[in-house]
Amino acid sequence: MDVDAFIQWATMGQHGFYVWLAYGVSLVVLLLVIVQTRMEASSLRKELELEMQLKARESALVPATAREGQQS
Amino acid sequence: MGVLKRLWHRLGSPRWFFHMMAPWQWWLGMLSALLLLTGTFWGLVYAPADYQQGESFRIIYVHVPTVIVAQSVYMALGVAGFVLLVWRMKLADVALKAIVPFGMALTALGLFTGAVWGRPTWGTYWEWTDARLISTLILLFLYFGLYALRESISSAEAAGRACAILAIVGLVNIPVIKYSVEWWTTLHQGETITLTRIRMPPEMYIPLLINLLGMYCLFGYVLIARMRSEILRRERDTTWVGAWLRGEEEGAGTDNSNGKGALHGR
Amino acid sequence: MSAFAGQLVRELQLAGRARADVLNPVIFLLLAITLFALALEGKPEVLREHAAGILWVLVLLTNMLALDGMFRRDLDDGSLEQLLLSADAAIFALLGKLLVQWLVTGLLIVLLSPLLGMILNLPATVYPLLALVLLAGTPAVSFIGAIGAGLTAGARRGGALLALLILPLLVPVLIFGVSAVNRALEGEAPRAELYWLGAISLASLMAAPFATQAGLRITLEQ
Repeated sequence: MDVDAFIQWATMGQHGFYVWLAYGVSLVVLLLVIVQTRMEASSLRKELELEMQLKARESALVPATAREGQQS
Repeated sequence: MGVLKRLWHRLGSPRWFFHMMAPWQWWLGMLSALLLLTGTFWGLVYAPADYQQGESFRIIYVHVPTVIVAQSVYMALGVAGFVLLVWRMKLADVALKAIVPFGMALTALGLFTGAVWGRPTWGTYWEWTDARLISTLILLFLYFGLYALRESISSAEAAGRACAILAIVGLVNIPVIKYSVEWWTTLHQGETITLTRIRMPPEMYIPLLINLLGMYCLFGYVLIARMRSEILRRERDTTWVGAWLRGEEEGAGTDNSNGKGALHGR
Repeated sequence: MSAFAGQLVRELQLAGRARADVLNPVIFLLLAITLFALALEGKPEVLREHAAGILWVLVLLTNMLALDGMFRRDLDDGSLEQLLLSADAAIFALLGKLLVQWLVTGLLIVLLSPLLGMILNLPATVYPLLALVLLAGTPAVSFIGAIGAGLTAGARRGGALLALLILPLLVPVLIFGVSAVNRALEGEAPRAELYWLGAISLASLMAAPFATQAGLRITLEQ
């Protein structure tokens, strides 16, 4: 493994700051997008499941006739 | 022709889209990761440095795919807006809302990577007289405007249609971005890539194409994923959503709600 | 056609009555240019150097002010619905409205341009070209701005939103306008810029009534 060649590559021949800045920020932004998308999906799902459970519990507790009375 | 017609009718149903596109979401996500990793690695390590620009040339492999897809996203918005206004298709509004943040992020990233590339290459981060830079900045502002407009109108349906109009009106900016390089020459050189002629050697343009394809796949993944979330939000009170949550609908499989798997391939 | 003429006359009459609403933006323009002259300590060379940019940015902002309430009064008193309900005449009526909007802002600015040139220390030889450049560019500002006004008519605090939506679209007008004035100051006729400004103005004249109508329809539904 030629360390010199590796260092040459890693520093991008003096342009290292720019190249790695560009790639680094791109990586961060794209990861953020993906993570945000997935987190939004899973928290939405949890929220909907919770809603569903609440509704199920509600309709189990309240007898049918009283529910009808409430709706009018 | 009949296939297209059937597809068009099916697109009227958010529920159909939600279930049908689930596997696509997974596959596009995987594909985009694969392509972007390959293209990036190739571009960073194996592609030759440019004769004039040296190693900073490698930034092209993130910059160009980003800006190309950012413009494609806006064109998709224009199409979605048109479909929404003319055919009142619900999914068009879903797409219109879901993809704006992604387009915004890509455009901003494109401007940033371009600035970072510009400094070592042409000596400046930014040039107010470069038409392509300015029209891409305008694109970013158009995305801000779309976001602000949607937030400012309380009726969801009216907000969608207002955004559709703004999206369509803003479409004039896209040809300006594309052709400004031909009309005025400041920083950006003339096109090195057209559909018919590529002036770069293969060792350079193949990783570029791979990353471009990967970026488009990412666009597809994000679009589908966010549209499906938006569909769930809008249809939360329907029976089909309830059934899906309970794991009863087709393509549901077992109900595992660990965060990693949620909505990712179901 | 009579819908156009009728609306034109009606709007002019309204403008004549609501003189304050018409004059306020222009007075703002004069005031703002004066502020620049003061802020730059009246230094003649500095003023001339930056005159094009200062002038055009302020013209854009003045129009944002003038466009803000363009449809709000009509929305409130119901006449907007009347206007849009008259099926095919609606486009012509809107055209009349758009034209008057330009007449009471853009045209006023054109007529005032010698005074503006004076404050910014521009040579008198440039005044005719200055007026011509403004004449070519201000219609685009009014018409494209009207599209934004239609979309934001119902929104509270619509003014800032209007600016956010429309100013990016007006950047080409700004760029060509400034370039035109600067070339005029150098002694050349800004032919290319005038063509571009005129083209944008004409294109927006054709597109604006339809886009504005679409936006207004949405506003009315809220």
